[in-house]
Amino acid sequence: MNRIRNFCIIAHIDHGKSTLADRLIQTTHTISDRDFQDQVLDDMDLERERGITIKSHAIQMIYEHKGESYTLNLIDTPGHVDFSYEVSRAIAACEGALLVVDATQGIQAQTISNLYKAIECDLTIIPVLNKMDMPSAMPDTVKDQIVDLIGCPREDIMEVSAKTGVGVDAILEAIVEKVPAPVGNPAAPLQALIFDSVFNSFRGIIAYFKIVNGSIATGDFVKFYNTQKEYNADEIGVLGLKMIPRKRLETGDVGYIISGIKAAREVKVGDTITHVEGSCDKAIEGFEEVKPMLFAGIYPVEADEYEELRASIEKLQLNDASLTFVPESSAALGFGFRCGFLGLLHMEIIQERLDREFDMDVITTVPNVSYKVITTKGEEIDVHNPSGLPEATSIDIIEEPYIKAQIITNADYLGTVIKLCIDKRGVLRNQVFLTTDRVEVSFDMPLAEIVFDFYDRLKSISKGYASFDYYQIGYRKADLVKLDILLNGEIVDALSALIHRGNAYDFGRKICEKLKELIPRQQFDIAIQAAIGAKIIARETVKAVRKDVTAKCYGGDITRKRKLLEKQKKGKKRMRQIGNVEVPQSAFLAVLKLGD
Amino acid sequence: MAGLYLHIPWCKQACFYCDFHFRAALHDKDRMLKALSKELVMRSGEPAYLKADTLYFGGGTPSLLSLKELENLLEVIHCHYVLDPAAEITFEANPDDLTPSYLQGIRNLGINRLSIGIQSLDDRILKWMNRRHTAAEGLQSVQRAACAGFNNISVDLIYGIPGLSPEDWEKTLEKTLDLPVQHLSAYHLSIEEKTPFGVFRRRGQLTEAEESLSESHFQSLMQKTRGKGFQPYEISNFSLPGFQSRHNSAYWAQKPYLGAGPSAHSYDGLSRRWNIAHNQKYIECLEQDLLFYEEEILSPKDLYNEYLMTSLRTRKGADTNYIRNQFGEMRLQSLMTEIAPYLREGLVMEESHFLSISERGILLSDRIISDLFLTD
Ligand SMILES: Nc1nc2c(ncn2[C@@H]2O[C@H](COP(=O)(O)OP(=O)(O)O)[C@@H](O)[C@H]2O)c(=O)[nH]1
Ligand code: SF4
Repeated sequence: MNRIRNFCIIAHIDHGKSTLADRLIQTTHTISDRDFQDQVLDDMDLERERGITIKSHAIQMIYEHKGESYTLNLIDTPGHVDFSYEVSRAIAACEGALLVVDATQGIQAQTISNLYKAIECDLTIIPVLNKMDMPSAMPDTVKDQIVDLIGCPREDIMEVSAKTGVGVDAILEAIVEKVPAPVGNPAAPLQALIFDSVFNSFRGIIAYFKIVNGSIATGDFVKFYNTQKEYNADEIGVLGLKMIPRKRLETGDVGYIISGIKAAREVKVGDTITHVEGSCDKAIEGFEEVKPMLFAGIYPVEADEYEELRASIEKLQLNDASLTFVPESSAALGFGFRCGFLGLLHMEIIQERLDREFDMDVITTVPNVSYKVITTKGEEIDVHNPSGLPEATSIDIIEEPYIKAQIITNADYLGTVIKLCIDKRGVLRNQVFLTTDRVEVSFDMPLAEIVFDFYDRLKSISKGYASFDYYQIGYRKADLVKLDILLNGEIVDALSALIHRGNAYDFGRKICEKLKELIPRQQFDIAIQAAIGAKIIARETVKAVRKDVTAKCYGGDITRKRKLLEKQKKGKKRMRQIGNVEVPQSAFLAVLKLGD
Repeated sequence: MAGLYLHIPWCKQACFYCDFHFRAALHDKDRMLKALSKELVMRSGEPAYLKADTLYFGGGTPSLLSLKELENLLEVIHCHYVLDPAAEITFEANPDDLTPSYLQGIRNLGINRLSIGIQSLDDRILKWMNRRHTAAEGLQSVQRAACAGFNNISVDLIYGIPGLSPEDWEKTLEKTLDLPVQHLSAYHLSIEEKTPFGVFRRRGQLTEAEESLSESHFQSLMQKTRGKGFQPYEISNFSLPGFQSRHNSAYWAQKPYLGAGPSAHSYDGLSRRWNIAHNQKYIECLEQDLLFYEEEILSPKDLYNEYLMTSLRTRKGADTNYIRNQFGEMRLQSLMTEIAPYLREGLVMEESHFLSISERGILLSDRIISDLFLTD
């Protein structure tokens, strides 16, 4: 046990986490150079393209130091706020963390919030300046930031280049020497922390865990503490580049378990594995049911693909326990599902996976956060859909989720960033100068406000020099109205949204303008209206097409013309007919792009 | 009975709106005419085209042919095809080529229908479109043609030109219809990608006419032609009774046609084929007996879509009996459901067993037709 080191890497996107991980793996010869594929830790297509590790993974490396052989477990963490709970569990499984900061960029918001998580868990932090090979590196400035942030001695900050490999050996040494070995009682009842799970189409769900106390052996009869489900440990083992089965794993070890579980939702990140006989008497702290925060309708473009869509979402759920869905129907869109997501990115990922992995053409509706309604009778209802809002007369209080938003920006943009946050109903809570020109501000803000074009606007007003992170801080009272959109006088339920009363007019006007851009002209005028109850608050008109005709169609024109009109027809097929209006898929998500 | 089309692929000067196939270079004229004759001879064996009742010289500019050259081409045709004695023989011409002697010459060779590209009666617009003649030449050429004895004359006009005022367009129509003409083709200007106008548009130097202007031009066109006894029989074609273009009508009636010359298309009832749209390559392929065309066999869906597209452009419309016979009762029933909203809105009419696009619907015909298309 004292030759085990469990650590993770905390870094902002693009600061070089994956590259550094590759180097560590290469240097410890965990993988032969011939097999070496860049960024081995990211193995889903989508992750690679987005440069985000969506699901965390772990890898074991063997490292010789001063004649001793050490087992280093690198536990990878997802890099986006949508997955912040998963990050916190991965951090909880470690004793140390490499804080990797791009020497050309400096510290970013996400780094800070993950760093706080690591400090809360008492992890030993090893600060690392990456990309030192670049001429634009500013080691002095960035070191100042790091010293300010964690109060470490300046000379402890390691300088490396993950690209060239310079300094990587020193990191490995520091991990062995500075990160403490796991502590725990090998003789105590088994307690293993599940920090991640993946789906394998042959073997079902594979859960990754770290043994906090006790030990586990193949064939043991185990139970998952929070779900109270019992399984046989069909196979356990450690995670090299492939899974390596083992007979027994001890306190401090990181490994995997396969126990015939088919659906991801049975395995909850943060849960505790223990034995059925001689169970531990309490679970490891910190477990939370991950609740989706964002809800949106997903409908098939072709109405008759409803069953296919259901099957596809079910399959997605097998390896993505955070995705929830219930059937719903819409007057405009027919039958579909109300899906719950961890956040916007998660929603986009699901949409993209439906498209790529299942070839499903879907319409996603305006997303909304989860509201709590307290009725006049004192009942509490979760509302996930504008149409699920009870009658105004029976509502006592509506509450909406709030977040603490942390933004780090260049001092030049501080004013505009603060203005944006205040426009978004934010309340300034704190403002700290990290260096003379870098400021961290924190706001309490409604989650709903960051769903609609917050990131994009933040990015554009700060010219990209702002980083953003958030965590939830509970529910607060909200003053909401239901905003309906009407096309030629008919309410399109799929376009309704719950909006803060103060924003409703502005929002209504903008969405009408946006829809006017997106809805193609037809042979009659289309009135687009926004309404609160019976009151129309905004209106736009898509003018009728008055001319769409080809002048000539002689012998030589027929083939080309036919193909052109066939293409025109195909474009139309991808639209939804609502009343007599044809609405393209993109219109349903128009509200997300109001800033464009 | 089939239609024969000969593509004469040269123009002296490129009109800025034109996307027909032509080359300004006249060199290799002899080789081209030989190749063209060779194609005609070779293809006379194809049964669909043996008997023809229309012949059409199009282009490009057929009036760039000398009388001798035209005579030779006609000889090849008479030698290898059975041309009906009452055949309609049309010749496209540019006004400035139509001298009295040339007119006399082509008439003597058997041309009995002239299609003259006068396009506009405004010198400013003619120049802007890079036409090589003036308005006066346009008017004069029609008079001369009538003097030479032509009694089946068609003229082309272009409307929907930004900057052409409704009044000027009406005057153009009046003057044109006062000429001794029996047929009018009036085309809304369309700006095609691969033309100089297309380039101007990309650079922002040219925008299409306002829709309201197009509408107003279109209305004048309908009124003025009607006032002079011209009947609309296709979106862009108007004629005095009995003077419809038989050749062009065949395109819209699923009749076979053979097109010879570079870029020309042929249709034998089952497939469409199109020749290489490149003069030099066309010549070389024919000289060396290489393949000079591409071909597409039409699927039932293609045939259906083409039928709708061509028939609905005509005033007569689509024949529901034909659809039932060719594509089945089921398809007809579906079509009737698909077309119902247009019938309700009055954009399509139903008269006995014909469905046709109404005058109000004509400017929207591409939308209507494509909406009725089958896709796979
Ligand atoms: N010059 C230089 N580039 C680096 C270094 N480390 C990473 N990069 C580059 O920075 C980009 C982001 O690195 P990556 O490891 O994908 O970042 P991650 O998002 O934190 O995993 C990639 O283009 C890397 O090639 C380094 O030490 N020097
Ligand atoms: S419009 Fe006629 S004359 Fe002008 S370039 Fe085109 S084919 Fe030639």
